Amino acid sequence: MEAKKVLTRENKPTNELYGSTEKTFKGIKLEYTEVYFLDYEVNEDTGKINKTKKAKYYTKNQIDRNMKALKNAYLITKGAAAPSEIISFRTRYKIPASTFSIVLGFSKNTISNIENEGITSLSSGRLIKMCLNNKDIIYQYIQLCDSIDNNKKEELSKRLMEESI
Amino acid sequence: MTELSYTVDNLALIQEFIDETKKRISDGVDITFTGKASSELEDLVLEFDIDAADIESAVMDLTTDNYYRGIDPSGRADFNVCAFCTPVGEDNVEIYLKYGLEAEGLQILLFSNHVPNYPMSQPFKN
Repeated sequence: MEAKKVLTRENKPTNELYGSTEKTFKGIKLEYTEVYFLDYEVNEDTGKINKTKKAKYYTKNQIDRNMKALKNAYLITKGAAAPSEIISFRTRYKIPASTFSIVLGFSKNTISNIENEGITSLSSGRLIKMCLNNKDIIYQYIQLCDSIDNNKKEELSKRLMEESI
Repeated sequence: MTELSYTVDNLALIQEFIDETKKRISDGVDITFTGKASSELEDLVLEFDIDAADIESAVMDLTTDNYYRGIDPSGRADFNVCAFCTPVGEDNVEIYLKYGLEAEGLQILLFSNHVPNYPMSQPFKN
């Protein structure tokens, strides 16, 4: 896949780079993949550009993505479900993201958004995690869900419970 | 960093710096973060739920009252760098904000955004 391009200060396209980074916050080690680009270093005291050395810089878009990834990593350490866990659960039981979202009481796109962009709230993240860890809760929520028909309920319940036997 | 004394000329200089910043942002220029600013923002995100949009809003709300240190009056630098003390986010957390405006270009480069380690004087306030 071709790397994303970012414009340097001199308006020259450069590759967006990826790297694993660590942050320790209140004793918790958080790890996430950050995106950045390289450009000539600027001395913050003199305001001079050093054309012999490059440093990491971040566009606003990159910063937004990085901070989202960091927050996601933090919420996962605090007990929220990781997007990959949700995807793997849904794949295993063949539950569409929109159906899973409605069953859990979210709006149709919430689970899909979480899977693509990460968890945004600790309470939602923990609720999902609890459900992933206890299929009886999901089974119960399927029965209580008004937005899916009985055939679908039966089909989903069967798939969930078959695995338990 | 130089602390400019409170004179009519210096007040105009800082106002010009702030106006130029707001013009660039209004024209669609995004703030670029240095590695240090990114690392500091990580703390603000985790501690106070402050994100890049909050930082940009704080920059857009700057006045000369927020001035702390800078600008090098010689005008020889590639970036004019200035530091401010300003509230940010929903909880109005006071932060030290230091950024530069590229002299021969349009970049707005954020060097620092963190909760100050000591009370900051604001020489142009009052």
